[in-house]
Formats: sequence, C-alpha cells, structure tokens
Amino acid sequence: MIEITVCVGSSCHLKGAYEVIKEFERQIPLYGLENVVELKAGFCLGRCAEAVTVKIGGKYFTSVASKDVAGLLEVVKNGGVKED
Amino acid sequence: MKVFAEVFTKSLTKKGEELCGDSVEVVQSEDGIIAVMADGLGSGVKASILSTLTVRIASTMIKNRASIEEVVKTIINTLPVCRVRQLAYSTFSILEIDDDGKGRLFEFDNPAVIYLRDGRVMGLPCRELKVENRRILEYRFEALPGDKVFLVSDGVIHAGVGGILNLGWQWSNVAEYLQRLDKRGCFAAEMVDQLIRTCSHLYFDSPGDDTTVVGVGIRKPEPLTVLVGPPRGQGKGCRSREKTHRQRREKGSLRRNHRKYRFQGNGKEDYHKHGLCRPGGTSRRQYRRNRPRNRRFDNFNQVCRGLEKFCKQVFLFPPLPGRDKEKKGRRFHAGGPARQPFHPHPVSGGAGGQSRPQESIPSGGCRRQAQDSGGTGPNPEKVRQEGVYRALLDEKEAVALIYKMSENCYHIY
Repeated sequence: MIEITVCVGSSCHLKGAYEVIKEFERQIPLYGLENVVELKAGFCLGRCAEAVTVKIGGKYFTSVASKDVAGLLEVVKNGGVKED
Repeated sequence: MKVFAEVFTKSLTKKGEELCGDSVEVVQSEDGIIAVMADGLGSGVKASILSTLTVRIASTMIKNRASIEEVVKTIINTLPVCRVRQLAYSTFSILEIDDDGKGRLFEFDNPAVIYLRDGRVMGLPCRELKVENRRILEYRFEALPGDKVFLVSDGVIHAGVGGILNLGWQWSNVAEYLQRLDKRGCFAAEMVDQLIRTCSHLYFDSPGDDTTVVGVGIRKPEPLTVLVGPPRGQGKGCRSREKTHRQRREKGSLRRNHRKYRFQGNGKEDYHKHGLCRPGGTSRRQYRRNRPRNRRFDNFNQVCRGLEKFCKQVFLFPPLPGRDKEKKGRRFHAGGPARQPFHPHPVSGGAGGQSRPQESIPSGGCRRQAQDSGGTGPNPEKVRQEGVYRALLDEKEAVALIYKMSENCYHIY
C-alpha cells in the first residue's frame, strides 16, 4: 500500500489543497489504483513556500496543482514510487 | 431588543506549542454583538500574532462601522509577512448580530459556517465579494430565538487527519454531529464543549493543528434579577473589618506623632465626634457610605460572598408544594456536594408551577435537566415574564455559576 499524503496546512490550503484531494479521489479509480494507494490528508509537511505539497511513499512532490495529479498517478502506476 | 446572542468559545492548542494560533474576539457594539474568529498562518507565537492582529483590527473597525473592503485592505496591509512562506495571511470570520435579529457574516477562507435552526443545518444565502483579489463570502440572515451559529477553524474540519481518519473529520460530518447535539436539546455552550472534546479525542489528545469553536446561541432576552446581600463583614477587602482608630492605638501600631493621634478623647462624645469608632482614616460620611448595608461591591469576590448570603436566605424559604419528598430533602441540604444542577424557579405564590429550566438559565454551563412537571401551578410562561426567579442552589453552585457567568457570557442582564 502506497500512502499519498496531501498537505492541508494553511499554506497549502490557500493554494488549493482541497482541489488536489478531490482530483486524487476522482482519478484514483480511473487508474485502478484503489487497492494500491491510500489517500490521506496531513498537516504541514514543512514545504510551505512551494505549496501544494504531496508526499507519495517517501517522496515529496511540491507545487502540485490539480492538473498534475494525473501525472503523479501515472508515476505511481508505473512503479516510480516505492513504498516507504 | 428582540434577540440576545450569547457567545461561547473554546480552543485547543497544537501540541508542543504554547500559544494558540487562533484568536477570537467578541465585542459589544451599540446595537448588537460582533464576534470575530481568525486563524493565523502556521502555529505558535507567529500564528498567534497574526490572528490577534486580525481579530483586533476587524472587530474595532466593524464596530466603528467600517466597510468590509476597508477592513480587508487594512488587514492585508498590516499583517507582517512570514519569512518562511513569503505570505501574510490569516483567515477570518466576522459575525455581526444586531439586537433586532439582523445578522451578517463575512468569511474569508475559514470553513463554512454551520447554522442550525430547529435542529437542522440551514444553508444561508451567500454572496461572493472580491476584495484585493481575495474571495470573501458574505451571508445575510435573520436570526430567530433558538438558532445557533457555529464558526469553526480548520482544526475542527481536519480533526483526526492522518490518524484515525484519512481525510479528517470533514465539514459535513461536523455539521451532522452538531445537528444531532441540537436535536438532543443541548445549549450552545454545551455543544461547543462537546465539539471541542470530540476533536480532542479524534486527535488522541495531541492536536495536530490549532482548533477553535465559536458557538453563538440566539435567544429571547431574559432579564434576571439577582439579589445580592452584604458580605459577612469578614475577611480581606472588607472595610468594616478594619480596626478602628482606638483599636489600632491600643495595639500600638500607630506612631506617636501620627496625625490622628491628637484625637484621643475620653468621653462618648469625643469617641464619635473624632471618629475613634471608625476605621482609621475614614471620615464620618465615608464610613457611613461604606457601612455594609449599602456598601458598593468593588470586586468580584465580594459579590460572590453576597451571593452566598443570598443563597442562605433562599434556603430558608419553605419548600414549594407539589414536589416529591426526595427532592425536598435534597434541596434543603445545603453545603453538600452538588447533586442538582442549577434549577431556577419562578416565584409563584407557593404553587408548584415548574418553569422550563432550559429557558430561564441566564448563561451557559448549566445542564438542562429533564424534569416532569409536578402539580398544576399557574402558567409558567406567565410567571416567567415577571422576571423574578427563585434560584435553588447551594452556595458552591451559586459561586460557580457567577464565575461561569463572568467567564462565558459577554453580557449579563
């Protein structure tokens, strides 16, 4: 199970963390990853200057917008991220 | 005055931080109340500074009838920029409720307001404003007695994030929870309490974010008459307990060349004329003014003491008929551990008319008690309007109540 943590701290919240979460929720079934990833929200991941921050497995992805979600899931699907 | 709004607030501070990054300020304006809640960026001292500044600016400006545009502009231009995040930012909600029930709410980036009416979450009509490129929601509503308005910070919505709940508690669940509490007949104060406690549980008692709840209960104004007796005349701060001039002289605590020393008379006349019977340094007029019977209460402790006395008097009243024996016995056992919550009664000529306790309680913190109405007294509604209540409480409860009133209630009638 790979954990996807989307930061919902004030900074990320301001830059639209919720849209990102919604997009993840929408896209995960499309990629058929329901049983592979677990979507979580999390408090400040410490990269406020480059919001929105998403942590997938042990890797941080910064400046994520909802349009980048598909790309991230593509990476996950191709095994680009390992479980930590 | 058509409605009265009582405001209760509670906060949890993020674990490891000393200060809460959320601030709440409630001010009384000429014709209503203004409650402002703000959540500063980050946590701890920094967030606290941001949010305190925001609530201060907003409440003062709105009180002086500034427009929301001005308020937002001022806040944006005043807040210090965070070095880490290169942002100056604080969310806020500004709630105004006039005495005639007109309400306005401005919301900037806070979770949406939860408005309860008749045990249901009500959607409020809202309008979007753009000020300095920021999206601000404006709600207008007509508040009716019995309504409850809850402003929550994002700590509530995110309660349990990454722990028990993957995505946090979420707005809809919080709203449902409050709705359930409201249906159960809780007071606004209790609901705030419960909500914050539940959040704390969801966080496993170590909150990941500052969490604040502001609960506003709207009710009919109900004047309460509290009879306050004189203090017992003992203890600190009581003028009448001070030693008289003569006592002090005899004790030897007066210096020989003390200004008042020359007034040492022997006859009864001198004794009164020169104030030897009065506490040192008080003139005759002043002494009279400070005599217990009509003394002014300068500090709160004395009011409490007065209330203690009042309660003792209350306990001397004969029991009201129409109450069963067990309750009678309890009621007259003063001073024991508090078993019955505060339960005011209208003075109703000795009949067993039960007022509805949930309505006659002046402030929060008192639990409503399910009570079966005993006897056929006069219409409680009618009695209640007289505005005189007989409070059946023991001393401890009374003092606790007064403290609660001062803590929780922003205006006591």
